[in-house]
Amino acid sequence: MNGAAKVDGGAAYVADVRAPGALHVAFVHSPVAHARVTGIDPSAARALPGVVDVLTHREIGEILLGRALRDYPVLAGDRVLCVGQRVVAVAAVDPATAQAAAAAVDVEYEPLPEVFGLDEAMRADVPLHPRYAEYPGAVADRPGSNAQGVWATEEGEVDPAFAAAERVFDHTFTTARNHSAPLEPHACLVSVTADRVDIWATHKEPFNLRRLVAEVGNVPVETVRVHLSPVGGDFGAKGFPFAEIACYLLARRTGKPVRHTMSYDDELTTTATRHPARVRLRTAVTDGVIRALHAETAIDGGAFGGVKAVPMVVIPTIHAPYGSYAVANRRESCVSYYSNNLPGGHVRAPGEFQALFASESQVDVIAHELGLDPLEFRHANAANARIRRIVAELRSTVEKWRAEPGGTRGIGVALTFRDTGPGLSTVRCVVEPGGVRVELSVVDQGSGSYSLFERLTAETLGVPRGFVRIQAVDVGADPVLQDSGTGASRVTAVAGMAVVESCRSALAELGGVPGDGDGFWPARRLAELGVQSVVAEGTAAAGWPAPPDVDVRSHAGIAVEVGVDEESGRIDVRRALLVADTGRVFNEVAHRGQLEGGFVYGLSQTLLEELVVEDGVVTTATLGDYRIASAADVPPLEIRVLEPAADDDGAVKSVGELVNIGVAPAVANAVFDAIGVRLLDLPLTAERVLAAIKEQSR
Amino acid sequence: MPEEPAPHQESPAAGCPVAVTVNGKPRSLLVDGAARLLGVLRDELGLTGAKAGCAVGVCGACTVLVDGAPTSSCLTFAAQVDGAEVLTVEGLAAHPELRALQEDFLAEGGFQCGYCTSGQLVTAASLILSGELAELSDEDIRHRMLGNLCRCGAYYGIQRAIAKAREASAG
Amino acid sequence: MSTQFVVARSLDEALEALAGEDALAVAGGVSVGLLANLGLVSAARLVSVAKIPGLQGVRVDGDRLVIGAAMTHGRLAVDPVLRRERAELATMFGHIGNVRVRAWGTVGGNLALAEPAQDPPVLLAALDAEVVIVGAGGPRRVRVTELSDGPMSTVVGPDELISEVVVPVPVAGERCAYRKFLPKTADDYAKVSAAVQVRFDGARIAAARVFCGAVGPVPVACDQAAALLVGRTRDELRDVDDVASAVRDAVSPTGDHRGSADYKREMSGVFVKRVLEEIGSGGGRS
Repeated sequence: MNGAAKVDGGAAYVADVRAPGALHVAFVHSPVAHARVTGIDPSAARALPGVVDVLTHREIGEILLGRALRDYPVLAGDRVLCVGQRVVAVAAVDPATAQAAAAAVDVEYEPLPEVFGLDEAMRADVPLHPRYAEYPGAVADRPGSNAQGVWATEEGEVDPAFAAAERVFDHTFTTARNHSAPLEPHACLVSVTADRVDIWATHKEPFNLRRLVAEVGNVPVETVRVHLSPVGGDFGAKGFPFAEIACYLLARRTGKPVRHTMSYDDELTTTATRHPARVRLRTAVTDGVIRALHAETAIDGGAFGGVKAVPMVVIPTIHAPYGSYAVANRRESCVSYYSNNLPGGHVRAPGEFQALFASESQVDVIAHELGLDPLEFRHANAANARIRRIVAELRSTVEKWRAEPGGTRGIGVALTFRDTGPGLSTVRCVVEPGGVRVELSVVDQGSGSYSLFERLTAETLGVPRGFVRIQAVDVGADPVLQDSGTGASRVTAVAGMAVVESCRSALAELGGVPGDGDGFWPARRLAELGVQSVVAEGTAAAGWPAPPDVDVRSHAGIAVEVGVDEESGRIDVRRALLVADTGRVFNEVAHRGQLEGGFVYGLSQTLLEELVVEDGVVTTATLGDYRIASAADVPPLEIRVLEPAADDDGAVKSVGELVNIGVAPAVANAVFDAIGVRLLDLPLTAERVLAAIKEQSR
Repeated sequence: MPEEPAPHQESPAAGCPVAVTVNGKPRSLLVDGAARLLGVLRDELGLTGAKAGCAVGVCGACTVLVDGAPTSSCLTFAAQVDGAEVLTVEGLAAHPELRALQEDFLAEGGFQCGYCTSGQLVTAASLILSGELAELSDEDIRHRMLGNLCRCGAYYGIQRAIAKAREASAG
Repeated sequence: MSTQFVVARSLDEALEALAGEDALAVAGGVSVGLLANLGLVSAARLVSVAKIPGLQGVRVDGDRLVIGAAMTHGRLAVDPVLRRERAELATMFGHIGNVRVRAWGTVGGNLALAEPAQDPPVLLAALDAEVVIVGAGGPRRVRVTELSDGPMSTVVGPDELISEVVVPVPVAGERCAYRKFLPKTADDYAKVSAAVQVRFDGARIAAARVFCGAVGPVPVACDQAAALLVGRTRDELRDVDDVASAVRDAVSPTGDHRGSADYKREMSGVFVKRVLEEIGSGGGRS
């Protein structure tokens, strides 16, 4: 998908794909948080003119979904575990009829005791998933029968370091539930014929979706094709098939194409959210040096663990706190628990956001307690020279800001870093007399990856960009092309390297010199070789976490200046600086966009966003109530992209989740600088800030 | 699966005649009184540039211009635009200065995922078409654009693109 | 399931069309469209009143300013007569929602919606505006303060229409200002809002009206707070803790996802205080 189609209305997102005669699907969602389903009577729905099929667990049996742990039923069986859970799917000739039919289905619920909130979830002695051990992907050793998963690690000599510590700092931070809120709601379209399945879906992992459909349908994977449509915003939301499988089953039963487009209130009330987290950090400091860390994170995993992709069924908080600092002795854990809330899922940096708010806030607390300048303290404890370089950049600007007149204000900083997620990608480079075509099956979710691929191809082959075409190949149309999806900031790094590899192989086969002569030099080489084309494949993979001795991460530092209205608690972020060390920049416009966009996203989730849930019911069910930042809510932002460091490995580094994770602590630290009040709980809403101000003055 | 726009079919319920000019083309439609402009543009006219987003008039992904005014086509009844001129993102390129705005969005990073982009462009186009843009401050522009949400956070790029258009309109 | 859409060309046509069962008036369509999308309203017949000439325009009629009910927020924001006579109203209309809401939403539609966090009812209440309601029984006048009898509810009958909003033109010595608290986004509904109108007789306030929005089922009249303002000089508007306290006593907010009742209560006092500071420092000039 090239950019031009996005500015002329031509880009066809899933909901834009025409499908005359397609049936429309509506779901019956549970209105209760925990209940036994004692009866489903779809007769009134079936009787409505235009209703073609009604699907319940009786028709499909138990089909469990999950990215790691498979505990999420396509449709509820004899129990519902959260408000919004899908219980019945109705297919009808138009959306209004489908909705009317869904409303006409009579479901009887017999209430069961509900578990809300982290404390209740941790205490619950009656497990919400008694059959947990049978689920594929179940974690063997869990702390209690209501735990979803656990990830615990230990490195170095933690206990001796704490025993010898001059000071131990112990703070607990909390973060609220918020939502990815991509503007494009989930949508899918499925067509099933005798020998083929075609799927269009707002799904960033089309290969996984394809395998899943083949498995559920018991059909050869080769017969399933997932068409690549641009995704209208992901931010973690588009990795789980909330509706796709029910639509597939309905398409197969009815023999008609079937589509579903979520309403926005379903988007906010029936998908998945960022995990509300409680992060306790105990940090040992001696002689101004951080000696050891004990980080414990507990999260409300909600009704199902299946939306999470981490194999341990938690969020990736491990190695995140104090990740920019040299802390060799680390004991870390993250535990998720079942509750009757919406399931937790992935939202832009699903665990790092919570972890970095805690640790970059605590770094500030420690510095102040030790009587040190927070930048000084960061500099002294930084993991390496790349990070010290960022601290120095921040310092020069912070000093400049402080020298300017500005009334009551505060300045805060935070450091962030980002690993590249694991993944594998195989692409193909086809060089022909008229130009070069790179074929790949990578989803465009808006990070500018396609224009990056174009540039990498042009550079590697030494040809003008006008001769390069990136061709999205539907998943399943070509058995060689592979991609593990666009999560974890890995697209540019992994797929980008695969593009380079394929071009290098093609180059070797051509045997020419890049940039040799004017225009499209490979045409001449093809003629000399007497072949019509040269075709070469390239594969790249990235593991995670990074190998210990090489800093393959991207790093950043954020400084913000705030004013605080002490009567209302409102934080006014007046300006911001972002210093980024992201190695080599391949596509300046897209790179800048990711950095700026990450800042906006982080600021929005820092100040505004809380998906409010009362007794399991989301009360912020529209974008009128769940507010996200608008153009008028973002401050001037200066971006300083550093030249690659001397020891930079030259690899493409991730930027998509580098920035949003650092905004919250920078703002909280700035508020402390302004009024001496430490904020431990996100989001930093005006009411919460005012409460903290009053608490302090008490 | 056929992907061509289906020929317009008059359903028996459709009873309200609407004569409207869409992107310069006169159209005569019969719509249900409760039909929204967004649905008619997308389903009847095959113009899918305007997107369905929040459905409550907040996000702006469905923005089109009706007689020059930015309009939430997800809220507006199709029958309300009888006699009006509608401009959608698909019609921008016919105006040279709006074509240039599209280029500015490309050059300045005025979008990422692209889902809100039609609405952003159309609202920005209203500033150009009304002749106001040259007089607007950066803050004025933000005030006029704040109803078009961009979850990718391309606000800075959008602002740069509109500022570029402002320079062009002033010069 | 089909819905009729009737475009009325006159008030009589509109009233006739509304007289049937299950009919709903549509001006800009913002509220009706939104509520219909949320499944909260439906109608067999929609009656457009946007093209009725009598519902348009702003004119001065003696000591009254007469605003056509189908005037959009956006047109009112730039209307030369309104800007001259009641700049605070024009400014308020220019900051409602977003540009699309202002392009289509009308003052009559807004008042008929009676949503407690909306801006116009609060300021119009402070200005002691009235609306003209037309129906089969002829026109009647109702004060804006008496228009709404609860959230999302008015005294306008199903076969009636708001045709005009009538606002007194400013008298000598009058000051009026409106503020809303938007702690989240710039296009949000007000968390609380405050409107104050005072009339100075010489150096001292002779009469005052204080209203708060989003802190009760309808705009809340803070009469005790208003009474405390009478007799004060402009300088004495800097120290208004007693007024703010009376405001906090008057309002009756409910806690919801926008904030706790206590917080909204406290903020209504803060924002009345800020409006008074603005008036005290020479702002709020009509």
